[in-house]
Amino acid sequence: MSDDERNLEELIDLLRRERGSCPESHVLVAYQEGALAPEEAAKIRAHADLCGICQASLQVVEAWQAARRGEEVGEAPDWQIIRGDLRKRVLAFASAGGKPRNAFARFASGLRGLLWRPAVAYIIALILLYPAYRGLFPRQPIEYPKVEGPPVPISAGTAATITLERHDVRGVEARPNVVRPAAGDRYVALQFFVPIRAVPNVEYTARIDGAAGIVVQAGKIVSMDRIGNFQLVVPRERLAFGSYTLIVEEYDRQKNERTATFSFLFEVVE
Amino acid sequence: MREATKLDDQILVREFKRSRNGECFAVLFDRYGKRLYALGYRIHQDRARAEDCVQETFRRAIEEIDCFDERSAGSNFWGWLVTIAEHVCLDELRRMRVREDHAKASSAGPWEHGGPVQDQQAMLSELRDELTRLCPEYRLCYLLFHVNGYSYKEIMNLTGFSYQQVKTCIQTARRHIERRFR
Repeated sequence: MSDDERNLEELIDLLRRERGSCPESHVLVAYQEGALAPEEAAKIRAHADLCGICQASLQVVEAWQAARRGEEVGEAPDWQIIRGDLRKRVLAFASAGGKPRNAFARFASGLRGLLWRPAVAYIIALILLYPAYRGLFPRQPIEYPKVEGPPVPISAGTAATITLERHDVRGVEARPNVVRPAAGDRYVALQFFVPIRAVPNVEYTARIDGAAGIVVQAGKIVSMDRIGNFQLVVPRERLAFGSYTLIVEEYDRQKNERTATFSFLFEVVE
Repeated sequence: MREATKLDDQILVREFKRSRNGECFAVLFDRYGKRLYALGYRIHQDRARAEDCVQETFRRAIEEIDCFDERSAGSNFWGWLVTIAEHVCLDELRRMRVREDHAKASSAGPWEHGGPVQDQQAMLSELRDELTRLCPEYRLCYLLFHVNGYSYKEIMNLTGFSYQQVKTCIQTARRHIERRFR
């Protein structure tokens, strides 16, 4: 490189540093429209005189301004060749609702298309309905009320046993439930039947009300079988001679409410 | 959709906003696509770049259609489209400018060895005058090549000139300036 060339290179480098950075596009548009203050416009002019890219930008702005004014646009070579393809692309984008076709949009659009397929819709419906199906038809084994023996071990000859008949059944003439404990009986075994529901979350309680509403005994009871036969063993000393009411209640834990009540009247006599 | 071709721009835009029916925009494309292409071609002097410009303009128009107020009395769809096209072209130039700025930032910072000395100032002023005396095409190519640092191909893209034109412009301008500073 000759000295002259080197000097010119240095000068161009100085020129490059002196002209500073390019203004933003909107400033160039404002400059071309004459919307800038004179000092600002002079700065832009000085910069653009030394900046090829800003000169090109100003030419672009000028061309589009002329188009906006409705000036002649010139020829459109090969328009008929490219028109069909270009139109298809624009139409495809417009039909997609004008949403940006980024990866997520493409995925969403694909998913939408897939959802309309009956087989996929059927599978998705099944997946969504499965929990409800499980709720309606529980697969876990049914918890039947446990079959347990009487809570207090009783041996023959130590308990007076009576099978109670319900008094709350309409149209049925129940026989009086009378229990006559012998002198050596330490317990009174009350046997009774109520139609139980063999479903989970249902439990039964029994309460023996004495005269003047005194509760003799109360607690949870379990059926001896899966039908509803119960045996309630009461210590003899708790049952003085007199009338009693045995109230059996069915309680639904899931609904948290009492769902049925059964009552038996019985007398303890000498 | 044959009747749509008779509807004015505002009604077509309203219909598109309501139904997102692509056919409405196809009518607008048929109406303005060619003019837009011609303008793009006049700027770029290149078929493919003019086509890209039209496609990108319509893509942005569709994307931002909700910003166009077709109910306003002074609304002008063509004017709006032209503004978008202008931004498309300027954005392309801006991308090149950003790249140029990055290249500059990686090289030495401004006035690393202090500002120009008095002699240099005088020569700089002379160079500036000489550049303004050049014919605009020569000046543009010379600045893009020597000051902005673009390649011949990039200058061809920017100006729409052919390779031979770019080469002639740069060499003629360079000869002219070198003769002055020899």
